[in-house]
Amino acid sequence: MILTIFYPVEQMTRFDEDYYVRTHIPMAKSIWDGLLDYVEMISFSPAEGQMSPYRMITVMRFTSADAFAQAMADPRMAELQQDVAVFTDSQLVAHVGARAAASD
Amino acid sequence: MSNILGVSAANNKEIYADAIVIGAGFAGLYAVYRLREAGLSVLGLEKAIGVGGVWYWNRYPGARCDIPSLEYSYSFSDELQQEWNWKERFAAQPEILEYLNHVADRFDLRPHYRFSTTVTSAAYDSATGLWTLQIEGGGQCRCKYLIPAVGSLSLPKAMNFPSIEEFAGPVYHTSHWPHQKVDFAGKRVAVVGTGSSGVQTITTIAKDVEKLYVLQRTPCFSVPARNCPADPVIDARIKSNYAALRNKARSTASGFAIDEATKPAHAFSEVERRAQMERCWAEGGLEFGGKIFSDLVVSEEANEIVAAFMRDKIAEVVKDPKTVELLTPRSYPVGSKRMCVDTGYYEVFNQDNVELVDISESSVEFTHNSVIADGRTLEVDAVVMATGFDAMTGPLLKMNISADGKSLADAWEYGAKTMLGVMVAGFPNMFLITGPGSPSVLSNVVLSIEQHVNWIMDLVSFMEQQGIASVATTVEEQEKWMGHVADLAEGTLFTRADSWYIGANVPGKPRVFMPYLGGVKTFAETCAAIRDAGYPNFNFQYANALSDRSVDA
Repeated sequence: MILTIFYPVEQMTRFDEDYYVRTHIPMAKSIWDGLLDYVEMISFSPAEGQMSPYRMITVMRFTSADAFAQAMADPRMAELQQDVAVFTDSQLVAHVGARAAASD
Repeated sequence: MSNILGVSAANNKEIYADAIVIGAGFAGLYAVYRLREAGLSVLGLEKAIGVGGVWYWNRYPGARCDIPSLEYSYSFSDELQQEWNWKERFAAQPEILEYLNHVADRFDLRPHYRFSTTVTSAAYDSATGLWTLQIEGGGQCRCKYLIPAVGSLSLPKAMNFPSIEEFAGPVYHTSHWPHQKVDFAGKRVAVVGTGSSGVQTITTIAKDVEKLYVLQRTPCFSVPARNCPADPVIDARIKSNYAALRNKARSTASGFAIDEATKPAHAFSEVERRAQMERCWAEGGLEFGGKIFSDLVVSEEANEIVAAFMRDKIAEVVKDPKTVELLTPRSYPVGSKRMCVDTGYYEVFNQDNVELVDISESSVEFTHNSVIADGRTLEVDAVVMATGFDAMTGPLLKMNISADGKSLADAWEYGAKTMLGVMVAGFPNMFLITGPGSPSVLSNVVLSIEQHVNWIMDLVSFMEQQGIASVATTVEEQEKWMGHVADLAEGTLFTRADSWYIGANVPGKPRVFMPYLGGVKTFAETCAAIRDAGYPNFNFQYANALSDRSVDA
């Protein structure tokens, strides 16, 4: 199972990348300890000239469908969701997908 | 969440806040904190992706504070100063950045900030009494109070080496160092500049590089840091009465909690003088200059005694006589340019892989694989620019600040003019923090930042209570203040050096001595007296009265 989180931005959307990388994602990793294969954070920083309708796209692959279900049921999910307001006012969008059949 | 914390945003394209703070360094974070605590809506704008300011950008090898960290830290929260434990006497950049991140988290300051956000202009309109800021890439913000907390040393000086474009290898600027570790092992590296950043970089990378060329225009005076791991016993003793240390710092000229020199050099016998200098040298640190003799920066004779002492120290360490001569500063009084603080800087020049190259007389040119200096072609793999900053005024002028169509650049055409380093005539409701005309760079700047922000907050609270829409200083008050700042400098040796204090490091910059030399104690007393007198000669405009009304003492 792959959870992809998109953070869309308009002009003046607030996004604290430093906090995201240093605190929020480590918090998610610790809550979902043992359930994740990998986390990839893709940053699009206007200050670096990387223009995109998204400020950040984060891809999290879980070890299995069961692991994903377990992760979503974790009681600390609320804590994780509350933390979002600390670093952004973006209306994030999350999609759950699977690896394409043709990929190895 | 777009109206979080009272900041209202329409479609996220235009935001209004009572106050906008530009910058998330020591000054910006504290200003945001105080404004919020005062009940104002506050928006922070920061160009970097995170907090830290100067400590975010300056990640060069060896970057470290020159002021003991127990003093170079916030005093506004006793809980904060009690809970934070510094690892070393002088914290390195990563630790200070960690500290500022801790402060941002602890006081919940992050949600106020929009990072990766660059202000391209700020314009005040007296008809509305509001500032309008334009943001790079679109978007605008409005506010009543504008606090550009942009720092004194944050805009790197433009590189005056046109042929650097030819150089094929990496060129690093100390103040824009990559976040990833730069591996210099086996590399031939040229470092341009021997100010504070240069000295720290050189000392740190000398052990890694295959070959290091140090390109020096003007030699520095440098004092040993005597850095060491924090001593838990000493720290505990200080923390048991932290207020005493802070109060002592505030009672000095420099803002360092030291026993400042009270006696001039000639009050000592030659033997005593020597002992005094050796004692201060052994204790080390930037405070050396404040502790040694009371007349160090006013008496040529006293200054020369200390300069000679420091020159001898170079000759004691460095073996090659030609290198000793080049490293020995002779063209300006000690202290009139920013003194460097080092950990084994001079020792580096005894290493076989380090070579000092004099660029005082010749130009520096680059080809695709080498630097040409002092008549020699030196092949190098990388270049490090430690060439300094457009200090104090540069970051403000870069933001295109204007009021009713008049630009700050025009107002400062012949040099920076402020009242107390905080306010600029013609620019209402804008408050600088440690601006030109304040002790700023010649003080423990964190202490100065707190003092400035506290004073600004007293004024802002006064205005909010009184229903005042705007405040401005007058040209007359400003002239008087800058005249006082100039008078203080005139009686010293500071005016004898081509320093960045005076704008001499940037071609074409007006030469005005910018820091206030009366010391932080006198400065704070002056500020407090103005507040206590009810802000005499400030122009206040009341929200419900269009006519100007001055509040007299």
